[in-house]
Amino acid sequence: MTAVHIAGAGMVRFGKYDPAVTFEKLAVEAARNALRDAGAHRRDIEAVFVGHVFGGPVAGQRVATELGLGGRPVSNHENYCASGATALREAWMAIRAGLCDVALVIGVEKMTDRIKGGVTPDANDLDAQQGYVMTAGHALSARRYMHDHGATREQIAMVAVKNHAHSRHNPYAQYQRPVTLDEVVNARRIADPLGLLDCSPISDGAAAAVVCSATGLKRLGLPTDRPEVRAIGLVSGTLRAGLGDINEEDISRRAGLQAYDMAGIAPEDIDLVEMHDCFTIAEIVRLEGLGLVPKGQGAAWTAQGRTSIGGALPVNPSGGLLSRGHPVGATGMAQVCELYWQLTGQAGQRQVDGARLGLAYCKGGTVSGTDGASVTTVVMSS
Amino acid sequence: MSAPMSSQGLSAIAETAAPASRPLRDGLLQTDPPRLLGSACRACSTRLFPARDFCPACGSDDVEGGVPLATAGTVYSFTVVRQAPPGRETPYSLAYIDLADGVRVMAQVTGDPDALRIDMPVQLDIRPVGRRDGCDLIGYVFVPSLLPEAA
Repeated sequence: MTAVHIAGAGMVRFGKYDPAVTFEKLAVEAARNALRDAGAHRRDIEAVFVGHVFGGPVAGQRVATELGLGGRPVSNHENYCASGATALREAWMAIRAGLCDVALVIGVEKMTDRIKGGVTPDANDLDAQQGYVMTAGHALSARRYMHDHGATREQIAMVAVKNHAHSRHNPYAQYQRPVTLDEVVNARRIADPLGLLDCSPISDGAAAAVVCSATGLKRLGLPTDRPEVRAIGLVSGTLRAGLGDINEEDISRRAGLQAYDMAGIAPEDIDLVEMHDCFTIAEIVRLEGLGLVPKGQGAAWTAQGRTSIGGALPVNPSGGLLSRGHPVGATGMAQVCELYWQLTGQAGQRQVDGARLGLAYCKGGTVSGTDGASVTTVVMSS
Repeated sequence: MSAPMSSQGLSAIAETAAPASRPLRDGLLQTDPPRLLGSACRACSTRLFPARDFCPACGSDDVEGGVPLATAGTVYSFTVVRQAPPGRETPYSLAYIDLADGVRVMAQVTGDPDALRIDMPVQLDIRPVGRRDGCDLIGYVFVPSLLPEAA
């Protein structure tokens, strides 16, 4: 099967932008940064894949037109917070199928002018009709995790402390200052036991990559040792009958296995993880679901520094969603940018030593009665 | 309670007076006696809410719909939502309730949020939970069993 490489990556700093900085402008700037990094010209790009949730109809075509990439196949991909990684998977499949050799993938979202008070499932969803908001789901998870595993509120809060410490060195992060444990625990309450600093922010941003076959790399005049996308898992949730553990994360387990099998690796081979920490507790239960941390020990591992840069398994050297920000459709591609920088030794003061194999995980959306809507697992090697 | 609109012709809808109330969603519940309605698998006995026409546990299509579910349950986990998108009054308590017949339901719980505990017993209450197009929407909440409100 054709190997798929990242030829170049680029993003814009995530944050809260003025209304004049439109969805299209964010996407175009990230795309141009990726094209420049890859040394690619418009004429090199054969197809464009765009992940977004709130961009509206044919947003990808609006962006492609601004980039001068009209005429090519352009497709829009929505899997809620896994949209960016899903767009990458479509490009990866197209290259593996031999349909193209050089593709542009963009994840983009403009949220601050259209999302207030937090994101929710679709209004038709039964849980949404009961008042379910994303924060509430993770609060229910956190409460039960503490009950079942004896984890403390402080241990869970340490995920935010750790990720904010990492993002001090990420110029693309929305927040680049450390926070203290006291600040996290005493922040304004959102959904008990979670407070404001347990939640990723509402953000604007875009991230992009030029994705190539070996032929594509040659065409761009690049060496063949660019980071390789070894596998991309994609699964959806299943209906959960009965009274099981809501933190079982069977959906994460299945997404992990799919990617590990495809890449021919074991979880213990992974050097670093970009994890979908939309909420502090989510980082913990998803790491456990993936088999990267023993069940029930994720909170303790975090508090002990084992998931910090310099620890046994660095998680979110970028600062994660909590600190880098979470423009939902852009997040998956921002994770890919971070893995690319880490695997090419360009991550500066947040560089993970010996980063050779990385995993990026996204979980997007909820469907009433299931353990989630979509999970993506991207495995990349240097 | 009205029949599903989708099963009627356009003329029938125009001739029918607007009902005073209707369920949040068709097939979700009954008011007399107040019960949530689920499905039960004839092959493996797994119950589900809301009802589905297949069994996710064993894969069987031999499933009975409209099955009244247990009204008593316990709190599996809970939260007090203090910030929500516009249109929802905060705070409110949201919980997973484990019903006595093995079905987990997400619903709001009434009463003092500070009194909520994992494993505390609660009881179903079918009641109006909002209004849409001039009629009451009938939904469901759970009420702590030990509080006077449950009596």
